[in-house]
Amino acid sequence: MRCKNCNVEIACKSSVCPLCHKPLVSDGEVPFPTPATKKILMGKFSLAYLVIAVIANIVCITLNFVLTPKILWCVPVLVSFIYVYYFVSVTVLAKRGFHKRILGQALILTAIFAAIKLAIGGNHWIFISWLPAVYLVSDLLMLIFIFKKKNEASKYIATLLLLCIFGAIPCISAYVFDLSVKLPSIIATSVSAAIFIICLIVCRKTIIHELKKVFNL
Amino acid sequence: MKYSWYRLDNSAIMYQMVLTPRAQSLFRMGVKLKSPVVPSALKCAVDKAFLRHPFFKSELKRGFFRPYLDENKLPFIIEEDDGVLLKLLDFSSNNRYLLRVSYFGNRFFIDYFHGLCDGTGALEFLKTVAFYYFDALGIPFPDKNILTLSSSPSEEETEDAFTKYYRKPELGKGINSMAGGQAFHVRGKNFSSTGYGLIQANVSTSALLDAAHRLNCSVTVFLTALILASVAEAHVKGVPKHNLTAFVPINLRKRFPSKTLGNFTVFAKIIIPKDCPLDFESLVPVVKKLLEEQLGEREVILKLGFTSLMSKMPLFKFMPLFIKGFISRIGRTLSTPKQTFILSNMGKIDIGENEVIDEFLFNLNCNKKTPDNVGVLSYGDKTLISFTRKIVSTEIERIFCKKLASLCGEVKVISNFREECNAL
Repeated sequence: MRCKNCNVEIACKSSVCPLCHKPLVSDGEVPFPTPATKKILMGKFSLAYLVIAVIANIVCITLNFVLTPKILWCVPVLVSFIYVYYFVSVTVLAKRGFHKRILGQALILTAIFAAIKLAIGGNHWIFISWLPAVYLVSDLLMLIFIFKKKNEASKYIATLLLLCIFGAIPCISAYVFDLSVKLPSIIATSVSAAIFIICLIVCRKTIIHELKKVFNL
Repeated sequence: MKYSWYRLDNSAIMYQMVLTPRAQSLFRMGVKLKSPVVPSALKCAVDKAFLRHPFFKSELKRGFFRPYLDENKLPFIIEEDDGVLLKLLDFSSNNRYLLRVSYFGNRFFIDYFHGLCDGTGALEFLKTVAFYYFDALGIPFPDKNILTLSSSPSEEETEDAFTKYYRKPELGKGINSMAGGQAFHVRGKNFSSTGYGLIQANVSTSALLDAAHRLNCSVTVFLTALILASVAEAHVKGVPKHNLTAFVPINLRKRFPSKTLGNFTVFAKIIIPKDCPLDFESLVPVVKKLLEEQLGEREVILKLGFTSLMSKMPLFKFMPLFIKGFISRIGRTLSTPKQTFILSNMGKIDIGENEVIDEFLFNLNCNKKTPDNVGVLSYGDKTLISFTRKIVSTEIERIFCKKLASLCGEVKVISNFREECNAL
């Protein structure tokens, strides 16, 4: 079909000229698909969870300040809601590497324990047993994961290094808070360092290859 | 020879450093066949093309000083085109590939991230895919000027040609030449959602050549002058505040022998003086003279030198990548593009005669500041001039096509009608 206004042949199916938008009649082909309109909605889980979390926390904060204002037990409740959201949306549902999920979990649990300690105070049992346990479990999961993917182990070495660095947190906290039982913390930190060194030795060839790429050698 | 990772060329590093999930430098090349695309054959063709061009089967990774391309072992996915032109690559769903292969009706398209290759490299990959597509369907297809598995990939195809032909530029004069001034920018209402508007003008190559020869100029000069005149007629009232500036990529492979499939182009900057009359006939000699100046040996070496500077100057070379990226992003945020539009002419595609390919397609990316860019290529006696636009208005295209029709005879126009697809 020809557009007399623009003096060009319209070679696609259309009721108007694509240049001047004046009406025309055409029986040409459809060269491009029509894009579907997408409405971006907040995930049903996120929305429902947000509503429940806000209501529950308002109730908890109110009860806390009315009934037991000396102990801030509402803080662990708030932190727990944040943790559950993180666990479901990031650790379970997000498409990220297993190694990153392990590291993420270790870090967020550390942050939660620190928040509970600051809010309630005095509960050293969190740092004596729970924190070392989190890092021990993370280290072991990481070790299993790396040995399962031995050929690609070099890709995960940076995460392992970070886990090793953060693995020092239980030990540091044991000395900072002057905990009565230091052994679990020392074991957790030692295991983190040992796993890192074992991986370095076992996967040294792939790690050297990876370093060459990273530093463009 | 087994490849597992590739150094990125100097030009590509710039594209990588400003890469974000919302800003990617993409361009599209495609083929229009004479029969509907068979997806299974296309998938098979792409897998075979990856065997010949392992460089394209890669993912982008961040090194400490520079990014690099690492072998991608995950499967490649082809998809049906959803109509959103140059939709951003979703690295989480496409297994981190730097290209996307899609199809619709008689056409299949490959959208490339510019950090991977330039138009010449992209065309080589596209031709290989087309060859193996017909091979999969059992249709005889000539392999003239096509890289197939009968030859093995060479190191030259992945070399950093910028570094290979680097010569130290003169800093003082060079900076002035490279920086350029503020350019006139086309303004208009933008499409609210992703995807661009596309107007594709189809004209006879011989008629276009005749028209250009009548004015004693090349097709690139002819089209650049015609688009500049169209921009001026559509958007310039009186004397423009800033210079109208066209950027025309120069394929350096024609100057420096290189087989690289990576980036090896620099921009010729056609800066029209403010006092120059902005009608087509007056612009042709001006554009011709400016383009000849930009194609001069000294100027080309200067541009090549500046592009390679980042890997040559120790300060840049040993600067951690995250600092380079931070500086680049600040620079990009604070600066404005120095061009009114980009016109990229791929030239004539010669793959011998066949009965199965109707035309090749080439679409450039654009953005808010440079909302109308033009890709040109010729195949057989058809020249396709594709305007990709971010703005709703088609005034530049309308003026251009009308004038082109008066100079070259029949012009066929197609559009993706983005303005009618809930994008306003």
